Amino acid sequence: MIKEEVIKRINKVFEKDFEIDLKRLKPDAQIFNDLGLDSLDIVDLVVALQKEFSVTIRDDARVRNIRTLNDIYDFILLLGEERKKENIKE
Amino acid sequence: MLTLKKLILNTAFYLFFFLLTILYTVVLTLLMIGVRVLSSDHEVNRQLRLGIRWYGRILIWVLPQPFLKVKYTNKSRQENKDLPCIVICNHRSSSDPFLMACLSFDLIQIVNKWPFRIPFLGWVARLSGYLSVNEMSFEEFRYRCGNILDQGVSVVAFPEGTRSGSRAMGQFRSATFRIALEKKVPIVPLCITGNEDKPLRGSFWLNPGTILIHKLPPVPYEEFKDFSPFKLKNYIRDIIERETKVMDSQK
Repeated sequence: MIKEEVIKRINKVFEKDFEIDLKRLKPDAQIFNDLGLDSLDIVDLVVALQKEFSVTIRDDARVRNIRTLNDIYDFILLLGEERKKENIKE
Repeated sequence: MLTLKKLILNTAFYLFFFLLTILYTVVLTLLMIGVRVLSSDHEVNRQLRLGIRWYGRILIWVLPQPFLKVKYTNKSRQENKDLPCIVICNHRSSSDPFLMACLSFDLIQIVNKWPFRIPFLGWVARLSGYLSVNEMSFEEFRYRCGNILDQGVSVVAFPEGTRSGSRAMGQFRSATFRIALEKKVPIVPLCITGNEDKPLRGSFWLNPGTILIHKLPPVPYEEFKDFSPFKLKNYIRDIIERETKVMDSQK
């Protein structure tokens, strides 16, 4: 996955599931303070991202370090790379 | 002149506040022992909440007079229709929980830990069924809140989670909105202005002036049944923000 594609798909999740205007989706936007999500909304976000990217992230401890939108982009990209490596091993 | 007013207001208010609180707690405790012998726990809780409401009314409408006034306006056509409901309130000051005494229906408040730590008041609040949201998981909160609504008792929440101490309004948390969607109950927006300095955050000093409370018409379940919790919390937040801006500009 290239970063532009990941950004586009994640932003689409925010737009569709949370009805947040695309203009507000800046990479440095804080998930809690700027976009207004709380810990329960994060659970909904995780579910939506899992569905969008067919990944399992609910039990991933790294989710707790996510603060900004850019952190989500990077996290999903990293998951993609990890999955690619696993596929090569197999 | 303002300083003298402030001094008189605070001296008189806190003196009578302490006396009233102690007297009320003793009388209420004795009454509750009597009621408990004759009726159920639910009835005891209900009577306690009634006692709290009248205590709050004396506190907000009698004690601070004449320097601090509380003006309550019900902007819905019918009082106490669509009950039980979830009342959603903006949160500027520690006086907010006391101001809920203006509402004339049976309710419990969802509070932070600190109100439960207040001697007498905290104990009575806990006994009457008030919920400390930070002391339980969301699952437990959902279960207990659902039970309260099933009993026909309304729930008051301050979804900012903490008082802003200013005219600004924080982001809303979605927990109570999820319950409104699940239990299909209406949401009543309640807007409070003028109390951001009554008292100021981190202070006990009350400042003279007027506190305005507007109870807006209920938002029925049918209006938000297709909303996500995230959309619903922001929808209600926008309603409250619009009204508080108008109220602030009237001063």
